[in-house]
Amino acid sequence: MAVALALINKDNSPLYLRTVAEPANGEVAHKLLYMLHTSLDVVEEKVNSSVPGKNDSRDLCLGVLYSLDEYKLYGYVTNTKIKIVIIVELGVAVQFRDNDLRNWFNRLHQAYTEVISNPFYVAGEEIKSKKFEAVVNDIMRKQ
Amino acid sequence: MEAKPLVTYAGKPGLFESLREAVCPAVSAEATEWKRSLGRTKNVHIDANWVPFDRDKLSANRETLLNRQYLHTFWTDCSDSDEYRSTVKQEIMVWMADLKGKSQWDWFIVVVEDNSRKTPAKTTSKLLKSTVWDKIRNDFPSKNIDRVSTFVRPSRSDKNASSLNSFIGQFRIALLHALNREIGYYEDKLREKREARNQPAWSFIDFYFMQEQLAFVLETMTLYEDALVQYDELDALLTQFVINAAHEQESPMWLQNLTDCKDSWRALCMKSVCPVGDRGPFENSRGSLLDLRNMLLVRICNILILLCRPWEMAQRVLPYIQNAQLELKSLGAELTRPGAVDAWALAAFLEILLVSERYNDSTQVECYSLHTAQLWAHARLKMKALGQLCGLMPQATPSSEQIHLVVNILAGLGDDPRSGEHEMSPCRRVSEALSSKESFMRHYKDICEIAMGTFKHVGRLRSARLIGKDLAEFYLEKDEPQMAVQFLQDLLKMYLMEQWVPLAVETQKQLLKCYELLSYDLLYLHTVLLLATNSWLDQMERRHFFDNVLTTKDRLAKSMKNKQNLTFAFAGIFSLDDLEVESNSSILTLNSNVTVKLTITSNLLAEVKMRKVAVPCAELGKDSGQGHRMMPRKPIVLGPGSRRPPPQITIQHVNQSNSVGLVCSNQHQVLSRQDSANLGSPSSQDIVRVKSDTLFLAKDIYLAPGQNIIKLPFKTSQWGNYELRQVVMEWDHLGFVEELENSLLRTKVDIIQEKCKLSFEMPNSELLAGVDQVVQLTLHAGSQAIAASSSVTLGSPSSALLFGEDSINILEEIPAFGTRTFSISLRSDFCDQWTPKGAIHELQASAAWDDVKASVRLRFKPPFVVTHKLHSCDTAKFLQVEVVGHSAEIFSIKNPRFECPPGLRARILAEVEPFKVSAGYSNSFVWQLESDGDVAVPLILSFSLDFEWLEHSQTGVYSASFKLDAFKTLYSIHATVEPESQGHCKVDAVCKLNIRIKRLSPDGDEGGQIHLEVLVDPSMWALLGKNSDVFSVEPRDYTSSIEMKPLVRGFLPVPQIRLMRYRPPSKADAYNELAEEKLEPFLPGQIYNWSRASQVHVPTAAHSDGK
Repeated sequence: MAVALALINKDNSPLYLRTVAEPANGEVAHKLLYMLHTSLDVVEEKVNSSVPGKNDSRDLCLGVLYSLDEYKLYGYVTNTKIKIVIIVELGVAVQFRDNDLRNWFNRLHQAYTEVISNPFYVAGEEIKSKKFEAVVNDIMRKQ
Repeated sequence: MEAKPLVTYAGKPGLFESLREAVCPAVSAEATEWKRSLGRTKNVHIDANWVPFDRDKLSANRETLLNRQYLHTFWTDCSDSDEYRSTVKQEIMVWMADLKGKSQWDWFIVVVEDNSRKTPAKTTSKLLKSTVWDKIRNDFPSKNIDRVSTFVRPSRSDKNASSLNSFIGQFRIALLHALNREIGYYEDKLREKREARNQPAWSFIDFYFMQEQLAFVLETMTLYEDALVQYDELDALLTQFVINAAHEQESPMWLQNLTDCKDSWRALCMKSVCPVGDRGPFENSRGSLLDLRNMLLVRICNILILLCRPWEMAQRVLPYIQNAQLELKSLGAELTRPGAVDAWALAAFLEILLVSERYNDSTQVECYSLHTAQLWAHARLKMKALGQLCGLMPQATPSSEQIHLVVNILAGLGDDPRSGEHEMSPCRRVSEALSSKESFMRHYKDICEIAMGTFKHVGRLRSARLIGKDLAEFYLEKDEPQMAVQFLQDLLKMYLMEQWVPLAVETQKQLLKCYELLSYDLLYLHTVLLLATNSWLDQMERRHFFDNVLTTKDRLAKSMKNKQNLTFAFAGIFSLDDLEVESNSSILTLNSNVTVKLTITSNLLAEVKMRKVAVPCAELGKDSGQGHRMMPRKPIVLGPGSRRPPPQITIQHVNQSNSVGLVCSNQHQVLSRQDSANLGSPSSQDIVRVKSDTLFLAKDIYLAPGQNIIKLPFKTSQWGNYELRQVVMEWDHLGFVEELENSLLRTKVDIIQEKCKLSFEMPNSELLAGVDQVVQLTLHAGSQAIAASSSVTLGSPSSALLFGEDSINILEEIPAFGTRTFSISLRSDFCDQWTPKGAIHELQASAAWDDVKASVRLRFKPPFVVTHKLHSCDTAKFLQVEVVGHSAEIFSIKNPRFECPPGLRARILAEVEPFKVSAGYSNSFVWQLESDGDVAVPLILSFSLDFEWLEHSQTGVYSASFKLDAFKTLYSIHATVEPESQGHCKVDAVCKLNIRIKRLSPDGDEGGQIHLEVLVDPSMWALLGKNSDVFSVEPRDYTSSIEMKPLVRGFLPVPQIRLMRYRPPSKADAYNELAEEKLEPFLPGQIYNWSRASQVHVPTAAHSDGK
């Protein structure tokens, strides 16, 4: 189940950060944030590695960035180098399909596209959009 | 390898033994193509394990692939047919019967020939077809492949081993044939077995060992990829079983057995590879899931090493181990000791790292490090978890239970399979690390540092720094904050640069703890300030930090002596939103009032009183004052948390190429590198306050939270170009500085000193000489007003330029930067010799008070030009004067007159009425000059006329003097052409040219000789005599005649006579043969030619008349 999610701009600054941890600035939340930030290492590596075919520009999904005992991090990068990272909590009981993940990423990408289409949104600012929030909530609630 | 297929040898065992050394290594030396069904073709290396044939060991068991006798060989060196028939054939038949009895279908008979008998044997065999080999082939036919082979016993002397090679080839094919059949059969069985996996009695362990056998065999055939596939299949199958079991909450029996065994977490060891077929801990169903996982992993890793992909081993291990842990958890099969699984994983990581270290060659170090870095990082996590569990972290003391736990965990890892190796074995490392607190800390630090180093090496700085954070926390716990500071500062820089505010704040809080412990007051204060002004924190926290700021500030005020050091950058605490230089005039000169308007946002929670707000300025060098600063810019450092400025694009014209370009004026900022090396640090050491006497200053300003506007007044007192360098605020003894050096705000103030300027303005039309003309002079006052009664002096180096007034008096004051225009009246005199181009005069003006000069070159054109010409008629002299207009302006001219020297009279031939000239119009008049006696030459005549510029009613007198070098006519020439006979001159008939030179007045050159030359047109006249002559006109006349012939008909011009003074070579030169006579021309007017332009009529030739 998705426990944390980040939308990161091309300069690696977060546009949107969200964890399910309570309280929002507690230890668990920080742990998740640290993981999100660290995953940028792998994202950059994957984005910069120019293996032909593997780095198909149409496939924006980067797959597993790295995994810990309890968590797995998945990445997605848009053509404008906006990165989406999702942390999924692992459990064998939870069946987790690749398709779900792609679906999440696509929905987030779509939601982000809508956010920046808003003329009142200044590019690069923190995202504060109810619609976007709703999409995120939906993903976080789902297993 | 144990799994090599067994091959028996029968017949003459001694024979084989003697050839073993030649045969055995040759089998595996080369690859053979293995064609399998479905088009699978592979090159394999096969090897065989040779054993003597033993009838009792023959077995029809096809359940296993290992220790199977795949091929049976029969060796004989019998070369005698009789012997064959009598004994060998029998032996073979018995042997075959034994094989068939045990359902062994793969046999192979080898006939070894001796080298000495090779040649004769072959010939006879060819002829008689009765060699033993042929006989055997006939007696024991085989279907698909050739099962009877022969070769010549190889000798040392004979290098040609072709017969041996062909035998080896045949042997390989036979062995492969056998293997192929058995493997195919085994695979079918395997498939069958897998299909039955849901039956209750099915056991994965059995299946595992079954498939493992296949993998072994493939491995011996060097088909490593295929072997790996077998293990991957096993891994996937096991994983699927576990997932299913976890879902259904019900495990099959074998899995139950595995998970029931909860006290075994033997360490993974690549060295302790179970021998083939050895079931290891599963011999008596006593093995845990981890044992199974260990076994599988070791096999996989071994294959990967054989495949030369050790980095893939490192890559695969991490998910494998994680998966194994997860499996235990999801099956609810936690081990009996907490932390045991961590210890197992740690040992596994260390083992893999140890092994891959050996294959860490330089070509693979990159991809290798990428995976080992992760392994080190995970090993670190495991170690940390163990340390926390066993009370080994700095703050804890292990309880007796925890010590007991350590003993149990280590016991579960089993005996160290690598004991005795000089390298630190994983087991030893784990047990050492857990043995005591000190030892743990040492090992933990080691692992952290290796992990950090490896991450840095592969460029994963964030991961490396996160480990640094953990290490920092570790040091903090250990009460060594000085070790922690650097790690946290690095981390903070990174978070600030990438604007991960929550993490930056978290790190700042940790740093705050360090600074407090270390009494780094300055850094503490700065960090508290930054936290207190961080809008990401909630009000409560900020208030807390703000109170902290106040107390720290006061505390420092008392303790600190050197207050200068308490200077911080604005960054984060305040922000300079805008800076404007305001003044009531657009140009700043001395004594102007200038105000700098600062818009500053304070992020502090309460109003604070700034003792002083100042903007110091620095004077720029003279050469750099022209708008663009030419000094090289320092590489810009973007402050922490500051965003890149937006690009400033301007349109610029490119003069040369008539094009327009876009220019980004702040590209050095927009395109600046953002790397870790160049991070702006929040430390205050770099900040240097600019000291300057020129500064905008305001005192006692209250700065409220939010936006404030502060005005700093200034009165200019000095010239110069100034740059605003900093904004400095002083809050009691705390200084805040914002550098303006690379700011986008306008930071320059130019206080201008400008001299006055003089400039001339030309009239639209051309300037005319001789009349008054007006030129405009414009005076621009500079930065200073020009006082009344100052004057501008006018002058010219040429005396021909006259001014109405020599200077211009300024009657009333001209204010600074004002402009006044004056008219200058001037007149250029006529010069004696005028050309239509006119004359150029320089006009100068100078302003004495500012030492400013200006000059202009003016071209004056004559309105008209007067020319004269002397005409003669025998002795009478006439002077013609022509006035030609040259200007568009109309001038009226009258009263032309001469002033003659005494003895000369000028009489105008026709009285002249006033007339008008302008460009293209001319008029001329003629005087007759009469003299009584001799007139001195050269003769100077003063000519003058009155003119009037009609448009401007200006009148003037034009005067010029004409110089005449000769006046009197000295000689006259009469030339006539006379026919020889009466009548006309005729073509080709000789006629005479009569020349008479008459002396009219005494020549000054008495006794001089005259040179005469007849100039004829050779197309008309043919001269028959000399064409030149020298004579002296004594006493009065000279006559001469020359014969010549007209060449054409018509009116022919009389040939011209040219006279010149003849100067014979002087006596001094008489001896000089080269001395030449000299000819001097006469001056105009001295010769009068009566026959000029006269013609002779030459009618048609005489003979044509007579027709």
